[in-house]
Amino acid sequence: MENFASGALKININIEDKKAFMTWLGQSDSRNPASELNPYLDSLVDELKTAELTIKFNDLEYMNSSTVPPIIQFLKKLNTSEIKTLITYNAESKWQAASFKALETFSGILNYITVKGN
Amino acid sequence: MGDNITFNYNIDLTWSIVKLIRDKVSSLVESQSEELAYACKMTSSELVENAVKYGCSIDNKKGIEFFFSLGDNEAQIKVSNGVINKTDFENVKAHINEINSSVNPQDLYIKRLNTLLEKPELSQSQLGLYRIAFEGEFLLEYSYNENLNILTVTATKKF
Repeated sequence: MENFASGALKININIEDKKAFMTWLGQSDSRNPASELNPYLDSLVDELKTAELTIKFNDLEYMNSSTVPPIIQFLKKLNTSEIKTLITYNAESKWQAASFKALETFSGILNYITVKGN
Repeated sequence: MGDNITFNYNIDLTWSIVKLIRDKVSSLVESQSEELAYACKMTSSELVENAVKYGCSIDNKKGIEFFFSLGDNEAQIKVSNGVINKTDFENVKAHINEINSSVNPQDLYIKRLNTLLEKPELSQSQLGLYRIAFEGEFLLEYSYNENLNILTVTATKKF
C-alpha cells in the first residue's frame, strides 16, 4: 500500500499482522481534495479487507471543510466492506473535538466504524 | 483595554491566497487564546475559499475584499465578492438562513454530514458555513448589493 502526499497533506499507511494504521499529517487545504483523496482511499479498501484499521487524525494540523466529504465516503466504503475501523483524534484540540466528535453520530449507521478522542 | 486590530485587503481570486489569508490572520491573533485564534483562522479561510470557488472579482476593483477586525470582545470577518450566477447566491442565502433559524448549530452540522453520507454526488457541500457556525461559533449574515453585484458574507463572534 502506498503513502499519500499532496500539497501540505501526507497520509502514511502500514499494515502488519492484520492491523493497519493510517496516519494523517500536515494540512489538508486543497481546492478539491476529493479529486485526489477519493481514488487514493478507494485503492486501499480491497487490501484492508483482511485487517483491522486505525485512522489517526491526532497530528493533523488543519483540514478545510472540503476534506470532510472524501473522509465520509471512505468510512462508508470501509463499512460496506465490513472493515472494523477505529478513528482517533486529539480530544484536547477544540477543532478536532468538534469535527471528529460529529462523526461519532455515524456509529449508529456505520456499525463497523468507531470514533474515539484520546 | 486591548488594542483593536483591523486588516482590510483586496485579494486575487487564486487558490494560493487562501493560505496567505489564513497565515495572515494567524499572525494577527497569535496573542489570543488558542480557541479564538483557531476560530478566526478557520472562519477566514472557509469564507475566502467560498469566495474564490464560487465568486468573481468585484467590478472595477481587483479581486475580492477581505476584512478582519478584532476588538476587546468581538471578532468580525467580512468577505465581499461578485456573484457569477443567481443559483450560487440563492444557495448561500438558503444555508445562512437555515443556520440562523436553528437553535443548535451542532445538530445542523451533523444533519449536513448525514446528507453528505447519503448523497455523495453533491458537488457543493457548503459544509464551510455550517462549520463556521458550529465549530467557530460565529454568527453569519449576508448582504447583496444588486446594483454593483456584490455579495458580502459577515461572520461575527463575541467572546
